Amino acid sequence: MSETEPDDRREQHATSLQIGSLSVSVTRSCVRRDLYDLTVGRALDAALRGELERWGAVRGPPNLWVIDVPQRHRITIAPAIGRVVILPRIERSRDEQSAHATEFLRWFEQAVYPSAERS
Amino acid sequence: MRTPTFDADRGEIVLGGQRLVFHCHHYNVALQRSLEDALGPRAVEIQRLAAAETARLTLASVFAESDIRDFDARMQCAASVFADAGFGRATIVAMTSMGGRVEVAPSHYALGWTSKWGTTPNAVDHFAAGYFRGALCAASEIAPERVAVTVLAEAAAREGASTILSLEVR
Amino acid sequence: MAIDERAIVDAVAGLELRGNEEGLIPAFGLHLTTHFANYYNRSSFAVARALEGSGLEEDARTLLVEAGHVCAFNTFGGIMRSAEWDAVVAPMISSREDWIRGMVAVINAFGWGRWTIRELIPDERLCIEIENGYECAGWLKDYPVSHTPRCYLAAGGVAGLMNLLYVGDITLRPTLSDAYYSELFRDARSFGARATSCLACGDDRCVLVATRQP
Repeated sequence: MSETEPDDRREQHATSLQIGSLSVSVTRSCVRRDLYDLTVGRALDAALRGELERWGAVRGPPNLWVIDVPQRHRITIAPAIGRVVILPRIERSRDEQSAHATEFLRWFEQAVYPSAERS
Repeated sequence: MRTPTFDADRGEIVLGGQRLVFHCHHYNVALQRSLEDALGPRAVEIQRLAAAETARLTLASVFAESDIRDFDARMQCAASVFADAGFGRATIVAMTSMGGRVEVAPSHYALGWTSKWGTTPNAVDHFAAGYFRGALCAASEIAPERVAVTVLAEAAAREGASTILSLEVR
Repeated sequence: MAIDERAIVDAVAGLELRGNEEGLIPAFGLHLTTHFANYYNRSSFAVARALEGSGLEEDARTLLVEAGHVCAFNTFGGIMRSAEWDAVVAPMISSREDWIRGMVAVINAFGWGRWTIRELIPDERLCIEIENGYECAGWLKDYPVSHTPRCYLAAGGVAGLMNLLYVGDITLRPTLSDAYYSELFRDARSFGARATSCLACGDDRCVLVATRQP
């Protein structure tokens, strides 16, 4: 007998979040957390890998960057196509998940679209 | 050795002499539900026994390979292996070689179950119950039938809940 | 570029997938476990053996293979939609069939034994050979040579690969909903898989063939 609605059957459609130039798809992913997913549509500069170190150790081969940020989320990046996926920690509330993802994505947007390019 | 080894040529991951395989929560809880659909309440004990036996064999090897002799260190190691494998965070509470309590939160199985089918008043965390029964057997080096496990609370019962296991050596 | 299986296996193995401070492994958009093969085997074989001789053998097989379908749909499907896939596998894909070749390479990092594609006829037939499959290797350790195949999860997985690509279209990154699952696995066009050889039956490896089910 089910007392609450399962996560997998609700809100499988994505909502979107706009952070500057970034359009972020937010889905109620499997297991009680949202998933943040965006593609900038171009390859990321290899130098960005080094800049990402401010968020945590970047692991993985040159074509796959993974940053695990304890108490927050795991960030997975496919640099060749500029795709970024953020999987928040389960124990964070959805508001915290959103705040942490947004903080990273604001920084990421600045890194990918410098102000000169924006204007 | 507490880190699994991977043999790409054989397609084999091994820890403590036992094979490990990657699976996600969808399969884990789907298989559990299939077992229970087929066998009803008998499935619970089958899963707990399978978990207990596997944990006992694996951990006994891990303790020997890593030369872990102290009981408390062994139980902490069992909790680490459980967490490293992705089953959740287990806290060993007031545990002696005669028994004690283990709390699991978050729990992989409970999260998987509730994400697919919602919260439930029924027991779900059979793997954790069996695993820590096997862990206590291995840590105390006693016969499996001497350890009884009682599930005092289940993480799948409500949002944010823990699975609480009581272990007793008879 | 052809699918470079070793590069894929090395990349997946190199992710060092282990529990975080919550004791969970979030990867490929899923939550993974490095589970005990023996646990799956003891549990699954208990069901199969309990129903043998009762006339319900085929029902037991159906239940266990169905769990494999669920695995293929969510795990393989989830992986094929993931950023990890886009980073490592997608750049090697030059044909529709490479989606299956790429996924088989990923499977070979999962400890399930060694999977090799023996034949892939688009939209018609997939033949996979499995060496050292964990189900049947486990069966042989604990039980006598079997009179029937025991690669239940593998059968569900092989059928699932075909259903994801040729009944549905995983290349379009669809949402993996319950409705989509039914569309893929309950359709008149759905694929099913059967073992033509099985390690548990005394053969030297398992061979699974997925075709459309009549």
